[in-house]
Amino acid sequence: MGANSSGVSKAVVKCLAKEKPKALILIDTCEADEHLMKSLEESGTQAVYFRIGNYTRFSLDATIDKVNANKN
Amino acid sequence: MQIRIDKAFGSGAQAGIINVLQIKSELGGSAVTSIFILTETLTVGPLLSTSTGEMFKIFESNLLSAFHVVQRFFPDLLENNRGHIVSVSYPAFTSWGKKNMVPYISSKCGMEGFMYSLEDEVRHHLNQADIKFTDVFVKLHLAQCAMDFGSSLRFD
Repeated sequence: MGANSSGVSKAVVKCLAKEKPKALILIDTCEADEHLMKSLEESGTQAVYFRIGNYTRFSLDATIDKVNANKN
Repeated sequence: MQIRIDKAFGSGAQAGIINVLQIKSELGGSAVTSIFILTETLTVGPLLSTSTGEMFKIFESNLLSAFHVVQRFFPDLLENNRGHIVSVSYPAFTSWGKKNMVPYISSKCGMEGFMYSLEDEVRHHLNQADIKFTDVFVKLHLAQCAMDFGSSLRFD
């Protein structure tokens, strides 16, 4: 399931071509497929790819609070 | 381009903890403007034989992962007044009528609710920030996929 399944990566690539984001985050349950990786590379987008595999726990830490504290 | 692939988040209490500041530094100061949610975990089994842990894992993969990431990076989108959150998944309603898929369908319905309610929140409470929301419903042979795992249609 995920980006390796039919057409999912195509949907992402289409969004990439239209939006042209400078930085993006992807969350997926399987490895990024070649088509998607190649498109990311060509677009020059900074990307962070999270893969959630084998039912591992997934959570972000509380550092965002520090970010907000610094802003204030 | 910098692509980080976390194959597994390890195990134990610290498993899966991702440092937001570290991610931001990896992105080289570029503000995150797009978030793609492609998570999809499907397990099939009767509710009574599904363990609490297994159910939690399905929800964590299909719903909570998106919740965590969007919550942490939403301030970036608001700050730039620009952003796009894309969820690519199988629609929950295509799974209705199939047995042994209670946790999966619940998590998918939760994901749809998450996207719709977040869009409403932006529209009504966050000064109508220019953040787009897109649900991409993949029309895959989920029925066949589920049946391979032991599910079946209600009226077959």
